[in-house]
Amino acid sequence: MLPDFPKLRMELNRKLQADFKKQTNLRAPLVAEIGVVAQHEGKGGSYETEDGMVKLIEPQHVSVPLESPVVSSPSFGYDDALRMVHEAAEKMAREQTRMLFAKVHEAVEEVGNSLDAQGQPLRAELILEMWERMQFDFDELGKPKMPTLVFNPVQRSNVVEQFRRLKNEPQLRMREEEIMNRKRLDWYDRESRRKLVD
Amino acid sequence: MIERVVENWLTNTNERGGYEIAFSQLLAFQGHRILHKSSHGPMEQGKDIITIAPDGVPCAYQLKAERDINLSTWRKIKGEIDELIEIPIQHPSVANDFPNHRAYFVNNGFLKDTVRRAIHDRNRVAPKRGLPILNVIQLGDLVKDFVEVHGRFLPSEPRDFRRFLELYAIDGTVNLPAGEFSAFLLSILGFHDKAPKKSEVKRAIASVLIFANYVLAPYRQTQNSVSLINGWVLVAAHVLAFVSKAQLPKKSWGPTFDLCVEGIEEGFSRLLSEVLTRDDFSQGDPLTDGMVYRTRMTLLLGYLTAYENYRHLKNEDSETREAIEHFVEAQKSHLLFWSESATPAFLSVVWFLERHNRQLEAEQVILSIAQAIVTLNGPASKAPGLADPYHSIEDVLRKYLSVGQDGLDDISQEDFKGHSYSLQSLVEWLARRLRRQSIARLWKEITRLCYSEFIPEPLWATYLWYSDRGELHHRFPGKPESWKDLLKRARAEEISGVPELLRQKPEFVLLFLLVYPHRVRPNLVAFLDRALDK
Repeated sequence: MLPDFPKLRMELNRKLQADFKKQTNLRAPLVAEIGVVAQHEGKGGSYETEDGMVKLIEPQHVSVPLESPVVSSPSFGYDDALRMVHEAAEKMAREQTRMLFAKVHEAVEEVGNSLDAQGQPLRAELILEMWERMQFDFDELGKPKMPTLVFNPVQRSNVVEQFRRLKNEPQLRMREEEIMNRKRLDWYDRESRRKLVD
Repeated sequence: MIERVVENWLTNTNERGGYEIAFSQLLAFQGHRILHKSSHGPMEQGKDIITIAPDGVPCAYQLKAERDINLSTWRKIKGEIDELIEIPIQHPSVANDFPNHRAYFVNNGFLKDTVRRAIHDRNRVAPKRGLPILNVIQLGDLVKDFVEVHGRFLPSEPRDFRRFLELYAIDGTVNLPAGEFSAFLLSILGFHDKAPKKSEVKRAIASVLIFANYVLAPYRQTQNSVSLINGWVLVAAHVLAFVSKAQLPKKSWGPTFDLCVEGIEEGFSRLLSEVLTRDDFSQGDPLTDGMVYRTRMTLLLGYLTAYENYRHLKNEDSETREAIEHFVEAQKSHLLFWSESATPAFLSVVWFLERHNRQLEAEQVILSIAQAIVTLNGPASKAPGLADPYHSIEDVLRKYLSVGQDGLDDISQEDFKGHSYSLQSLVEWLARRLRRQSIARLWKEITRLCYSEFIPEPLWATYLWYSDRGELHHRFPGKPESWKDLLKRARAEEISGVPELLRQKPEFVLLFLLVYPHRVRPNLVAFLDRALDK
C-alpha cells in the first residue's frame, strides 16, 4: 500500500462535514432554528397529541449528491473540496426547507388552518386574517412571540409596505390590538390549564 | 492466536480470583454441577470450588495463581493441599458416607520437577492410606480446555477480533466502554446470526462468559471495581437477551448467570473494601481532580447504596450497612446531577435514605433533580440542557469543561431542551409518596417538557445496549393533569414494560439500571419501588 495518512484524512473529512452542517444551517435558517433531538436506537417514533391521539413519526431520509472528483487529482485542494461542500449544503438547505414546508402544510391542512389567498398579493388585511387563525404565545411581560413570515425575496418591498401599514393605519392597528388581546386571553386560559387539579 | 491470548491472560493473572469465575464456567460446561464456591475464609478447608462431576463423583478444587511452583512455594501451600485431600467434602448435597472425592490442584503455571516428584510420591501412597490422589491441572491443560469451550463462538470477523484485542489491551483505569463491550459480547454469541442449535447454546453462553473474563482482566488488575461491576452486569444482561430471544429454559443459563452475579458481588466487595477504608477520595493529579470529584462521589454513593439495596432485595443482612450509612451521611453533599444518566444513582441513594427512615430527605433529593430537569431543559432555559442518558459521563463532562472536539462530537449538536427521559419516572415516584403540593408547584414547568421514553421491541431488547428495533415515544404531561389520574397511573401495577426475567430478579434490576441509565422507564422504576417497599 502507498502512504495514505488515514487519520489526517479522517480529520479533514470531519472538518468538511462540520462545515457542511454550518453552511446548511446558514442557508436554511428556518430549519436551523429547530432543535435536534437525537434518536439513539430503534427506528421511528411516536408522539401523543394533546387530545391523546398517538401519531407515528416516520423518519425521512434526505440526501444530496456530493460531486467529488471521480479520480484523485493533485490539483484538487482543500478550497476545492470546501466549494463542493458548499454547493451540496445549498442543495441540502433547499431540500430540508422544502420538506419542512411540506410537513407544515400537511399539519395545517389536517387541522383545517390553512388560508388560501387565491392569488392575491400579500396585504396587511391578509396578515391579520392569518394571525386570527393562529395560536400565539406571550412572554412574561405579555408581549406576543411573533411568528416567522417566510416569503419570496421578490416580495420584500411589498411585505415591508404591508407591515408599515399595520403599524401606521389606525384601523389596522385597532384590529391587530383586538386580535392580540383575544389571543392573550386564550394564552392566559391555556397557561391556567398548566396545573394539577383533583 | 486465541491460544496465545488465553495463555497471556492466565499467566498475567496474579490471583486465583482472576480466573476462578472462568474456571467455574469451564466446569459447568463440562457437565459439573457447581455446589459451592468458597469465600476464601478459614472454613474453606482447602476447597475453593466443590462440584459434582457428570459421573456423580464429588470433586474439590484448590486454585492458585502462583505461575511456576518450586519446592519453597509448594511448602507454603502444602497445608491447604493437605486439607483439600484429607478433609472430606462437607456439603448437604454430598453424602457423608461417600468414599473419596476427587481432589484437584489448579495453577496458572507449571510444576518444577521437585514438586512434580513430591506429588507423584504422595499419590503412590495415598490409596493405601485411604485418601484420594491429587490431580493437577496446569497452564497447558487450562489453555487447552478454555480454547475447547469456545468452539466456533470466537470473534470470527477481523473487525470483531480487532475489537476484542483493543478491549483486552485497554488501560484498566479508564471506564469500561459499554457500547463496545456490548458489541463484542454480541459478536461472541453470534447474536445476529441464525439461532444456534440447542447443542451449541451452552457453548455460546460459556464462551461469552470466559471471553468476558479475558476482557475484564485489565480492570481487575487496576482494581477498577466500578468498571468490573459494569462489565459483569453487561454480561449477565446479554446472556438474558440471548436466552430470551432463543426462549431457553433456566437450566441452560442459570449457572452462567449466577457466575456473573458472583463477578458483580466480588466487584462490590472490592469497591466496599476500598471506599470504606479511605478518608480521602481524591485521586490522581490534584490540578484536575476537583473537576471530576463530585462525579466520582455521586457514582460511589450510587453504587454503594445500590449494593445495600441489592442485599436488602435478596433478603440478606448487610454487614456493611452502618458503614455505608455513615459514608452517605458524610458525602451526600457532593451529589451532582451531571445529566440524566445520573438518575439511577440518585434513585439508589434515595431508596437507601428511605429505607433508613430519611423519608423527607429522600423526597427532597428527587424534588431537587426534578426541579433541575424542568429548569435546565425548559424551553426558556439559557443554560445548556441536561444531556440525555445515552451520553457517557465523560462526554458530558467534556462538554461542560469545554474540552469537546470543536463542536464535531454528537453531544454538541443535540438539543436537550424541551424533553426528558427521567421526568415522568420522577414525578410518578413523588406521586406515590403523595407529594401533591410539591408536584403542583412544579406542574406549570413540567408541562413545558415532554416525557421521552424509548420502548424496545421486542421487550427482551431491553437487555441490549442498543436496540435496532423499538420506538421513541414522546408525550406531553396533561394540561391540566388530574391528581387522581396521575396517582392511579403511578400506582398501577403495570409490569408489561418489565421483561419477564427481570420480574423474577428485582435485585438485579437496580444494578441493571445503574449500568444502563437509558433504560430508566416509569414501569421499571415503579416495579423497583414496589419491590423495595415490600
